[in-house]
Amino acid sequence: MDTWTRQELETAYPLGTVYEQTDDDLEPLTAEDWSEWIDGQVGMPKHPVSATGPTS
Amino acid sequence: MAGTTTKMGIQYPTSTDLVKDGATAMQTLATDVDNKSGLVFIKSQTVGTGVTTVTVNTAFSTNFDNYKIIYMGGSSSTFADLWLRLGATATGYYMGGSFTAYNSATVTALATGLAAQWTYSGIADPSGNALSVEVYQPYLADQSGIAAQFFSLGNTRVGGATFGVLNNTTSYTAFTILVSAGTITGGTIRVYGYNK
Repeated sequence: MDTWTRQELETAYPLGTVYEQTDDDLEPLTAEDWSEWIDGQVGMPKHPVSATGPTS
Repeated sequence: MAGTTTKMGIQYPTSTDLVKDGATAMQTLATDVDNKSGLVFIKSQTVGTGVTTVTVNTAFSTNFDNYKIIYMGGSSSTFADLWLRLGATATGYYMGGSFTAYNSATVTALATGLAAQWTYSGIADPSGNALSVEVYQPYLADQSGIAAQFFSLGNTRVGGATFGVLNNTTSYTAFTILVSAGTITGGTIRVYGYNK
């Protein structure tokens, strides 16, 4: 199963490019929150159960 | 009042009614529309760029018991699911359902047991995001329920239905849509209330 690595995630989502939104307010994740967010996705499958459909 | 509309029974004045009664007639008409509309638009929220969570405040109130939330459009950075939470609660969510891949008739069952969110509420896809759920009695001090049409705008994904409960009696005014992986960008969340 193809899973996310930390290096891939850090490249795809650099610090300062990921946000939390509350109503109209957009706040970038702090360095601590961003690192925690990255950690939470390391090892996760690139294709979740809802993405198992054939590609044809 | 001289008459009522055929389908909704909304009262309206005629040209022979007195002008001095106009304000009263307008109020009666407005009240009828308020009471008899089936699904009432509450608010919308445009989703920003590179977002992991979107919280929509003042969505639920005493005005309605049951709600429809639709988030369509935009895109996601990767294949992911859209999750839903009520208020700040991150425990007590149960969900079950089933789906089939668009190109396969095999049914797959889903069950989350106790989870930190309603996990299979919608689907985030680079082709477009789709979340269409009914949320039952989130504002009431009672268990809240959800019925989700679990489908995707991407043609390599799945379609199905999921249902669940939030096992507490908290009253909520806000909800949060979360993405299970990556980020979402764009699209609009719209909230409607079912009239009582």
